[in-house]
Amino acid sequence: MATLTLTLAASSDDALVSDLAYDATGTTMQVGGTNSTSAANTGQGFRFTNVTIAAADTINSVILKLMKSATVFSTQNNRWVFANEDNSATFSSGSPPGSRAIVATIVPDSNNLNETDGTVYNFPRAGADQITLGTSLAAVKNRAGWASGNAVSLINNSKQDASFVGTSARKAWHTWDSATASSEPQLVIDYTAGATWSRPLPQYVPVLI
Amino acid sequence: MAFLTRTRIVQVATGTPAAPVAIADNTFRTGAAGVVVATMAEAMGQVPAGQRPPQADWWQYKLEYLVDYVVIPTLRGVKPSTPASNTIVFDAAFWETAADLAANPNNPPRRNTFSHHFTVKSVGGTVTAIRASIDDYLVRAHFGNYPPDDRDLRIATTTDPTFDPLGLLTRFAALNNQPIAVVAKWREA
Repeated sequence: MATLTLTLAASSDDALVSDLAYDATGTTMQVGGTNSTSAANTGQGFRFTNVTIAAADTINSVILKLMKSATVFSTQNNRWVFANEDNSATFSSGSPPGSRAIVATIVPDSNNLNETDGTVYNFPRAGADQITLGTSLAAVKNRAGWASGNAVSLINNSKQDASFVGTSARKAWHTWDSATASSEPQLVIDYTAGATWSRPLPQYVPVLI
Repeated sequence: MAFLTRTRIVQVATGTPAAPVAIADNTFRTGAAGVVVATMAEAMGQVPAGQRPPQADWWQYKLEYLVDYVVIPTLRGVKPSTPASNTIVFDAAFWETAADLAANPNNPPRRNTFSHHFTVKSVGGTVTAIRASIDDYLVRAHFGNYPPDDRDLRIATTTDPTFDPLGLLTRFAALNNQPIAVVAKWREA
């Protein structure tokens, strides 16, 4: 499949609301389940611009790549899903990730792993889940208002997810604001190019005079 | 297209899920040549019953795959846009071995197009990121049963440096049309 790798392009394009306040400027982000189910619009988000996928293309898999901050062996519970938006706007305290409407296909992705400081890891981990996350993105691409080049937001542990779990199982990952080189979150999309658009031939209808 | 040629199980922890203890990677079992399985259950299924750890302990293990390939990345250019897209586009052709490349240079058994966006901060790692992108793709292509030629020929590109403020075209030069051999390398899925 053709492969499109997008890199987060602005500070406000990764953000979270946890038991702490809204944060878009921290150099690391706690990604995973938070221990506060009462916080409004809990969740983390990553917004990617210039998604040059046409409506006729087939999305085969999607991966989020994050760089670990600090070596930790513990559990991380994720529920990945794309925002159900034609052209996702960047995050703000008034419009945090967890407040966004989401598509139906959610990818649960839990692990208990030792992850090393400075190493980039794939989310979700399992290949089958990466294919399902592609289905989640396809739901955005199939919206009537979608156009190639629009922006998408990947949301984790959204408060809009009916089965949202508030168990604290999270780890720290580098954000756009990190000082570490090459540490910005990335989205990798494998897709198959759809049929090339072509103009239909004009139809001439014979008219009997 | 057997770019992945073997599976092994590596133990990375002891203890319990609630109190895990990391250990140095310890190869627990290497499967037979030519056997590539997707899941831990399949891999453990090939371990003799008397030697197989209980399923409750499988979280302590990970799977790795032996990969062998030669790849030639070929630059197409950068996406032309204003402001600059900072996206480099290249095709990659894969052969299983250097001998396969020598014998059949015009018919790679696998091909793909890569579009890779960089930023001012990440541009320093251009070559490393591109090579990692290629490696990752090959594992996904195997398990996703991707078609052998899945290039995207629609993408408009240019080699005009006006559209390349990050100097991606210059940075890619070290890779362009150069065979890169990745031989007998164990990779995680």
